[in-house]
Amino acid sequence: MLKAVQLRWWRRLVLAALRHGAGCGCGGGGRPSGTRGTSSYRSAFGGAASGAVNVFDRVLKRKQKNWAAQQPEPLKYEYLKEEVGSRVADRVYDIARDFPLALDVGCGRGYIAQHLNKEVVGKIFQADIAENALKNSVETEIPTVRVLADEEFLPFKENTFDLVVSSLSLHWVNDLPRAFKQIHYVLKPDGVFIGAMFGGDTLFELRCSLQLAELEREGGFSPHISPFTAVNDLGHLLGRAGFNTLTVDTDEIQVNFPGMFEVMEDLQGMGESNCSWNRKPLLHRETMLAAAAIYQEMYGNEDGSVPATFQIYYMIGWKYHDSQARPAQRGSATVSFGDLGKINNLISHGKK
Amino acid sequence: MSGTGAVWSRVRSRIRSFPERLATCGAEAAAYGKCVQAAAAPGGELRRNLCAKEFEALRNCFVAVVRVAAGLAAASFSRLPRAGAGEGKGGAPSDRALLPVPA
Repeated sequence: MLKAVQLRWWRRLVLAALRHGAGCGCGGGGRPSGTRGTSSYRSAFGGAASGAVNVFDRVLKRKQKNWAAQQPEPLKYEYLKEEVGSRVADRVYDIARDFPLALDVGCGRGYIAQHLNKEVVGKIFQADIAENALKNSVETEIPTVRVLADEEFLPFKENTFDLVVSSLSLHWVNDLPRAFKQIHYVLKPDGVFIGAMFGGDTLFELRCSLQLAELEREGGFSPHISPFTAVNDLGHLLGRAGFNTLTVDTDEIQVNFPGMFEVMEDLQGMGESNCSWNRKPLLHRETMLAAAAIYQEMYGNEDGSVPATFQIYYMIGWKYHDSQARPAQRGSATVSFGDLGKINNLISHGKK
Repeated sequence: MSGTGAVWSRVRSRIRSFPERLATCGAEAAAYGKCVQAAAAPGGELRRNLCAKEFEALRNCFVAVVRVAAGLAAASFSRLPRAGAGEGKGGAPSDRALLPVPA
């Protein structure tokens, strides 16, 4: 989400639909959130490139993830992915079913599979764009097949998997509706998709500090944090992709750091550096210094540390199957809402 | 991140000194932060170089921190010519080249 080091090359593309947080209302404690506009959600699954959105440089993201995965101590930076991976695995356990065949989309080093066991998941396919991440993946007892695949172009047949999971990788996908449609496609009927992705308020402190610093130092600002999906849009996207019985819930993880530079270093170590096409390749040292001072002053804790907020959206969606519960037909009610006051009587009558 | 990586490691090593320098200059950083926060509040107007005075103070403090090798606490000097004040190994060249004068 942040690129602080000067790049030797950068390309600037004219983007059809890109937007970022409009101004910074940080003074009153408000949180500006960058959101993706809805005008980009017109491309159909397998549709023409004219509707395609190109926000992120996927080749660069692959390089960044490869670099992050081949570091000597990956565990030092990937605590957040470990934590979210375990929470997604909890949600898998919550479903009272076992899944013979599962797929992990954008698995990274495999943070979900290490928490699952052979009874719940028979075999798991792990797909990621970074080969180093697949090579250095975490040990798990489930038989694994590792596939080098992009989240938007899954190389699997229709109705293959009972379970698809995804943890913290969908926020780098260019065409999110298409990715959801692909996931829906590879799922079997009555299959479930459990995903986790970063949401609207993530890193708002960093976003705000950088905007204010750039405004004060340079007179204008450019986006350094990538745009995140809003929770309403997420529900709509999942619905349009064909998922039933949606559940979206949000969780906030706040991590304390000594200062802004450590935040940026950890983000880069996680492989979460910025890769949008419209990123500014250079962040001046003075701007960094100013932003760090602002971050400390505006958001610092009493003990001198600074918080970084990560908002995670967990989503569960099911592929339609006849056995699933459906909404009742209109006019099939047997009791009226007006009788709600007499519900005790109704229950005791029912027991007799 | 290409070729020998010499430029990248040099830049990285400089950036690694930033957190401790910033910690040493806590008071100036707080003053600058307060100025910007006040300007960004509703009713204020944040424009370029509004808090230039506070930032100058912060920058001077930042640059003047002499990095002593072997992990001793950084000592803050007033602005002296580099040749006379250099105590840390390799501290002098990186300090001089640290912050470019804004155009």
